[in-house]
Order: sequence, then C-alpha cells, then structure tokens
Amino acid sequence: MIRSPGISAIALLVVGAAACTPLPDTSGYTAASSQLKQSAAAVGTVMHDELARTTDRIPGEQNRARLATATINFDNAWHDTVGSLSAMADYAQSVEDLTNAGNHGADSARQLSQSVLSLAGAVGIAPGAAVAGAAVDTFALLNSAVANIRASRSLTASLAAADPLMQDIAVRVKRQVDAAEHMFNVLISQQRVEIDAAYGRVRNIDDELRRQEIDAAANATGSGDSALQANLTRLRDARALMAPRVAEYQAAVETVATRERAGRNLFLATRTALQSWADSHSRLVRAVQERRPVSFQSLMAASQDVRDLVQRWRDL
Amino acid sequence: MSDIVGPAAARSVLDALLASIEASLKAVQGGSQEARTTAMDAAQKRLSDFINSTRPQNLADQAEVDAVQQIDDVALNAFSNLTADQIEAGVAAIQQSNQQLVALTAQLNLQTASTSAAAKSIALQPVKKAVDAMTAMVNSVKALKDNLSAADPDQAKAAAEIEKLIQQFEIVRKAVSAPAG
Repeated sequence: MIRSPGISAIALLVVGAAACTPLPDTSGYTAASSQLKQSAAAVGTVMHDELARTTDRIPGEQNRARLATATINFDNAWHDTVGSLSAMADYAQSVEDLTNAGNHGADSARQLSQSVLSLAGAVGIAPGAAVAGAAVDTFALLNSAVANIRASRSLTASLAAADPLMQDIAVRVKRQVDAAEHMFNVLISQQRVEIDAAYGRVRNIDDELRRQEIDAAANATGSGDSALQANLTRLRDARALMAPRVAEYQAAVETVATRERAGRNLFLATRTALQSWADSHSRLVRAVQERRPVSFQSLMAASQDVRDLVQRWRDL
Repeated sequence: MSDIVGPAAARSVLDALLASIEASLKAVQGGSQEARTTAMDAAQKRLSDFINSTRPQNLADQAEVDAVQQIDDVALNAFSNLTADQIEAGVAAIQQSNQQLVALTAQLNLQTASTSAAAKSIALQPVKKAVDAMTAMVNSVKALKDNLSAADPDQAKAAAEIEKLIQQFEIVRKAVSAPAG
C-alpha cells in the first residue's frame, strides 16, 4: 500500500483547524448575570423601603410590630434569593474563564514555557535562545489546539449539567419576584387607602362644592339675578379656601403613584431579564455544541433597562 | 360602589361588609395560598371602595362628619389587619421557596467549582504554579548554602545536606538534558 505522508499532515491540519474554531465569547453573559444580581438586590431595596414606610404609618400598634418583624424576615429571606443570583453570576464567570482558557491556549503555553525556562536556568540548564524560542513556539502551537479541544469538552459537559439547574433557579427566582411584587402592591394599596381615609372629607367636600358651583354657574349665567351671582361667588370662595388642602391630598396621591410606577417597572424589567437570562443560557448550550457564535444582545438590552430603572428608583 | 350617605347608612353597610368578608376568608382558610391571597385582595378592594364611598349628609355638621370618619377608621383598621396578614403570608412563601433555592444554589456552586478548576487546568495554572514554586525553592536552597560557614560544624553539616540536594537536582538536570536514546 502506498502511503502519502502529505495526506496525514493535511488531515492533521484540517482537524487542528476545526478544533481551533474559537469558543463563543461569553463576556456579555457574565456582565448580564452580574447585572441581574444587582437588579434582584434593588428589588429587595424597593421592598425594604416600602415595608419601612408602611410600618411607620399603618394604624394599630400590633400591625406596626407585625410589619417590623416581617421586614426583618423579608430582608433575611431576600438575602438568600440574591445569593442564588450571585451563584449564577459566579457560574457565568467560570464559563467565561473556561472559554478564555480554550481560546488563549498559546498564551498559557508561553507563560508556562517561561516558567520552565526559569527553572531550567536555576538548576543550570541553559538552552540556547533559538532552541528555547523554537520550543516555546512549538509548545504554544500544540497547546493552542489542545486547550481548545479540552475547553470545548469541559464547556459542553459543564453547560449541559448546569442548564437544568439554571432553568430551575430562574423559574423559582421569578416566583420570588412575583411574590415580592404582590407584597409591593399590597403596601402601595395600604398607603393609598390611608391617604383616602385621611383626606376623604376634603375630597368629598370639594367634589360636592364643585357640583354646586357648576349648577350655580349655569343658573347665574345671563340671569342678572344678584342673589344667584352672590351664591356662585360664595361657592368659588369656599373652594379657593379648600384648595391648599386639596392640593396636599393630590400631592400625596401623586407621590405614591410615582413610586408605584417606578417599582412596578422594576419588577417587570427584572422578570423580563430573568426570562431572557434563562433563554440565553439555553442558546449558549446550543452554540457551544454547534461551535458557532452566540449573541446576547436581547439580554444586554434587558440588563440595560433594569440598570436604568434601578437608577430611577434611587433618584426618587 | 355608590355613595353611602350619613353615619347610619355607613354603619349598616360596613357591618354587612365585614360579615361578608369574614365568611369569604373562612371559606378559603384551608385552601391554597393562591386562593387565600385572592380572597384577601378582594376583601381589601371592597374595604377601599367602602372608604371612598362614605360621606356625611351635612358637611357643615362636625358631629356627623366625625361619626362617618370613625366608621371609616373601623374599615381602615380591617384593611390594615389584612395588609399585615398578606405581608406575613408573602414573606413566609418566599422563605419556604428559598429552602429549595438554597439547595439548587449549592448544586450550582459545585458545578462552578468544577468549571473553574477545568479553566485553571486548561490555562496550565497548576503546572505553572508548581514549576514556579520549584524554581523558588532551588533559588532559596542555593542562597542558603552560600550563607553557611564551613568553620561551624553544624552549618558545615547543613551545607553538606544541601549539597546532596543540589546533586539530586543535578541528576535530574542530566537526565532531562541527556540525548534521547
């Protein structure tokens, strides 16, 4: 049988080239994971703020004590929730480290070669510069392919093992966010009903006076009756007298509404980012298996939304 | 809810409302957390509507205004008790769910440790660390020997031991640099 040495060399080159397809850049995934953790922490801050605000004002000593205890329990529980997202961010970092190791095998080899040459020098082996350089380059070339293959295998195994955990954690954290949002809505309702109860008379009186004013204005217009005109003036004066208290009521309502909007947007964005994060992990698993690039654009956009909303809440 | 005018009407409506709420909450007492939450949400909505619907017949009558306010306060207290119930139930649900989350997190941390170890291994970090440590040790041993005095018997003995160690390195060196046979 005639063997051509060229064919095996070409085959090796082809295998080497295939093996050296760069692993996907996962730095966006790591950054988004870290942002997601901060988002969950911000949800905890929002909840803590609203719990504290409501505890100060809720009627009844017993209710205040119950909410104060609930605040402590919530803070502790949410610490664990954020901890799970922190673990997801750590995992994302380890995946990025692995892809980097796979994509930079030559650099690792050069660094190791440098260490080996230092050791050789210390024990009295001093290879010529040209020989040492050639050895380092050869090792770097070989390790580039080896690191790529090893990283790819490790990455595939790691992602496959982690994906069910990631999906499960994402679902459970989403439920925690849902539970927190329901509590947030309850707290906002409590604050709103307290305002309604405190300012109810003001609002009732102003509503009644407004109705009377509309009627009086209709009667007085074009009638030339001075008594009707005087009645209209009296009603308008009364409303003007009440105006500051009505404005106070409206300001209190608007303050709560502003916090409600900011909080709800943050909850919604966090849920969206969680979903996007879980989907991105599944896409990452497929991308590594198929050795093709993966985009985290939607995840990054979701993370940016969360970042903006967290800032908006802090600015309130 | 249409306007509830005057304290007598407000009291009557509130009595009926509280009885109805109590019955609806009792009905879901042994049910799911979701059913209890829905019932409490509905009860709070009804109480809030009530507070927003009451008004005195004569706004100029302070006694009547105060009487309606007191009835509103009863509704507000009932609302506040439900708020405390809801918050406690919500926190308990989060605490319960966290137990499973903590277990999953522990599993993920194991996976992270394994992935990090693979990354370090592929980046040749453990080998590089060992080689660097060995180089440092060789240099330290050499420096130590240079500082020992041959006149002092103890130091001379230590120097001899170190010499043996260096000879062992020398054997390794020769083995490494010997031409492949």
